[in-house]
Amino acid sequence: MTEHIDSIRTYALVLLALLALTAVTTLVAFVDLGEFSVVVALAIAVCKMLLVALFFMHVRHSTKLTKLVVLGGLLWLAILLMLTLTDFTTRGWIGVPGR
Amino acid sequence: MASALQEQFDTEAQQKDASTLGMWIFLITEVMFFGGMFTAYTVYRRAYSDAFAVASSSLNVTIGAINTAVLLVSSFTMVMAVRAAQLGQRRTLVLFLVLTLILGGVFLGVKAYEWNEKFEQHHVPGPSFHLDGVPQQGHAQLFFSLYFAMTGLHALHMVVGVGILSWLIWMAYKGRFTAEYNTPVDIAGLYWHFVDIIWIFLFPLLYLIDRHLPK
Amino acid sequence: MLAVTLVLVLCERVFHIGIFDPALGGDPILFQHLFWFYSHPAVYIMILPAMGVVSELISTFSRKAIFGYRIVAFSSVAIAVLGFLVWGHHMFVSGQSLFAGMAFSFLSYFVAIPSAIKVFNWTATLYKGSISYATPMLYAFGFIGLFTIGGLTGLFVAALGIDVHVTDTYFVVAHFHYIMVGGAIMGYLGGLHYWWPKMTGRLYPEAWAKLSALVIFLGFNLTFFPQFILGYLGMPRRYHTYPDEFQVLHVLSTAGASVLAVGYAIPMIYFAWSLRYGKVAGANPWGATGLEWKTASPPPVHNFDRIPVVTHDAYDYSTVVGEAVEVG
Repeated sequence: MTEHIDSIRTYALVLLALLALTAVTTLVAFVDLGEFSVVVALAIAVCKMLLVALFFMHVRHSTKLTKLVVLGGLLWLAILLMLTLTDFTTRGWIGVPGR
Repeated sequence: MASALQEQFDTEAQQKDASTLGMWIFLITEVMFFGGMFTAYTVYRRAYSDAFAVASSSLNVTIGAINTAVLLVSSFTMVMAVRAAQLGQRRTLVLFLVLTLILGGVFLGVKAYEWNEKFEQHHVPGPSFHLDGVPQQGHAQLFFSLYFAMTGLHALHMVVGVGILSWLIWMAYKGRFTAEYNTPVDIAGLYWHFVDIIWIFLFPLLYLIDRHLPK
Repeated sequence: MLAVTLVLVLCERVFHIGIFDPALGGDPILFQHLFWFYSHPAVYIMILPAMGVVSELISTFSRKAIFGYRIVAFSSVAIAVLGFLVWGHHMFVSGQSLFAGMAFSFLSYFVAIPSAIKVFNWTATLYKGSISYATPMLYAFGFIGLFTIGGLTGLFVAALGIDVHVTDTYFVVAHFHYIMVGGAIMGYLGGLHYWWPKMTGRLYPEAWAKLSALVIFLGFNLTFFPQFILGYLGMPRRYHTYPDEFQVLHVLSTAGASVLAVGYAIPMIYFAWSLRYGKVAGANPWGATGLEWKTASPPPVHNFDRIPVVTHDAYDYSTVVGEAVEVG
């Protein structure tokens, strides 16, 4: 793979974006958004993660295989979380057999 | 000076791709490693959201935010180091690696201070645990168990990262990395950024739960 | 995944913090989720290499390309992926929600499909093949039969209704041993015999090998089939004693274990023997296709003296004229 050498400017802009998002997430936490607080916080965290991964970790210049591996890792985490939560969120739904 | 093209590879580029892929495979195992704790966190936060909110508010947001910024800047200095290596700029490389190391050290120092505060406030799970404002002490203890487990594991990874950086600084100083061969810097960078990403999630999940509620 | 689960338990024990401790509001079922998320896929990963070996063996010893190669390959991937979605079937009676139980049960039936496809394809490969009964092939046959039994009983325990009764009994023990020993170990032994000449340059004694394959097969079934019955009749796992009416079955199982032990010991002896006294093996004692058979036994460090020229498909037996099968 040819070396894509990003400019200092690119990295600096990404850093500024990351710092700005940190400030936003901190300040937004003090605003009452009810259920959405968590959603917003996680959304911002995901954005920061994407910035770090794509730019600092050079995923946007990586091979397709690397990108697939990264995606796979996130997918597997999602499987763990989703299916485990399936248990905990449905505890009361259907009764226990025999009762 | 390592020419470093191993026998089984055709080109340096292919070898570098293989090393990068290898590091990413390791990183996704790390994702699952931390993922187990994030799952535990998710389950318990859903179940005990009130206790978690009170417990979270006992953490110092300002310090947490500053530490987050410290790590983000250290990721910046790390990628600048990688860039310097790609351009064959030895002195710049060493400089940025040293900066990254220092910032990592700052983060760990601040963490140590925070933990010490927790010890003094009796927020460490165990027989002497007590948190005001929570009817169910057990639930709050769960928050802090996860707090210490997750930040502890993260800090352990930082310490390993600091060790790796020290080694890199030494090698870079001796001129072992060139524009043709800088793979160790590159993949150490991947590791460092990963540890940063973990903190990116830890910060809001631990420090920012329901902060809008009156204390 | 397993590591973090164990780390959390370690923290519980050493630092007296409670993550799964109900007294603190913790949930032991969470531990089970984290534990089985790794441990179930692990066992699917354990069986997949054995299946790969069986594909090789069936193909070589019926002198025919595997029926539906692509589907077989795709099924391996399907098993690996689907295997990550079924871990809750170890937790049907743990107290997890019934809804989750149903979801995991459904997914568990789903994951049996690619395994079944493989068994059908292996069988179809045999049709109109030129079958030879060399030792590796005997193990492949053993695999197909015993893995099928293990797989079918897996479907029994994947059903919520049945599992409520047979969970934590010897039925489950028999099920997974049919897969792990009847399946994985047979595959391992078949592969070991198949590639032994290639790895060591020596042939093992065929008569002894066939004998030990038979002893292993009989010993295995004598050990574990009674356990299906025991489990169905209610004998729990991990008990040190049992009512008298179960004694016969227990004794049969123990006897089978001794036979199985003999069956394992014989290959250890003749493999060791063959290293010194076995007949020297040529490059391709089985007349198999595949590149490993085109180099010497054992291969030189750099594998090939000259880069081999590939003129036909990997499993194309139509033009290959192999050496006569030389057996010790």
